[in-house]
Amino acid sequence: MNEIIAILIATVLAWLNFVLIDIWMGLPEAPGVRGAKAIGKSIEKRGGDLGGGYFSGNIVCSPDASAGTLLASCGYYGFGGPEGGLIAALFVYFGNRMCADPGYAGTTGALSITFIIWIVSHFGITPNYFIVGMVIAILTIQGLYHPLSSKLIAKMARKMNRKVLE
Amino acid sequence: MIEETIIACIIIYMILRLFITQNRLERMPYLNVINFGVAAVITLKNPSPLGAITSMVYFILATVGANAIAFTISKVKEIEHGD
Amino acid sequence: MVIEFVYAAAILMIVGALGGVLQTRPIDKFLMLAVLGDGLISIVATFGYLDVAMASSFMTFVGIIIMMIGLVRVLEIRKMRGEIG
Repeated sequence: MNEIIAILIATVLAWLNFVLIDIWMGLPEAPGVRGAKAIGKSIEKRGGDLGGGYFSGNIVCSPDASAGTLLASCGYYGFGGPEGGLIAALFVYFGNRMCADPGYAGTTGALSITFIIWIVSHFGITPNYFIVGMVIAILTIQGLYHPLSSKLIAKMARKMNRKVLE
Repeated sequence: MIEETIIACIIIYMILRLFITQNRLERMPYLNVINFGVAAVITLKNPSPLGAITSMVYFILATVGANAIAFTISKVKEIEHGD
Repeated sequence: MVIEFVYAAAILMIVGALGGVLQTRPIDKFLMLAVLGDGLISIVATFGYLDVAMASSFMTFVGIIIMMIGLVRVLEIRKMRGEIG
């Protein structure tokens, strides 16, 4: 029972980390690459929101804070300390430049989740729970029902004063 | 352990949804969830620095590959439906 | 019952191969090929061969990128000759 509670707390922390940093870096505003625009238009055609569609498209086509969170947790677990999170930030930086994406969402997400894991690991939530939590978090955004999750992302973006393109 | 079971169930659910749907662009987010799952399993089964590095290399290359597939789907749609 | 990961990887490979056979357009076949490659890399990594997994992931995804470039070029040449649309 202790493990289930730890996985739930890690899921909530990973979800908040990657969604808030991505919306703050402006992912729902514009499509970064051409594939993201196609995925966004397809979600809008099926009844969702265009800003939320661009958010999902940017997650698929380029490493962003979701990739940074997952790889930083993997690095922290494998290396046994915060240096794994820094190495993950370096890999995500290379991946961003390979996809021709001039942003820093991935590195910011990786560094912030490394700090969060370093604090929380004193309370007994080890990094492997964050790895599973991140997979469950990305399932809720991209795997269940696209129109509903895109509308939720657009609502959060408006609340954070990010102008969503219509 | 329980983490492996959770990720295996998520991957099986995603692959069945990917096989069933007909819309090409709806399959891309399901493929992305599968990439997340495989990258997580590589590190969970090999808790060593080399396992973490392999997981990072796999995930970055899989994201660039999914970018190429999405770009090609949009290009094919543009060529066939007459610009 | 504990579902081990080996079963999920086997389902990935079987569905990827079946999908590659049953789909008709080349672009759909490439997507199923990516799923098949995912399953192969994951099962190689589960059994501990990490350097094989890293080399195999390089070859799979660079191959997919090169095939995508080729597919776009073939379709553009066919459109220019007037065989599509």
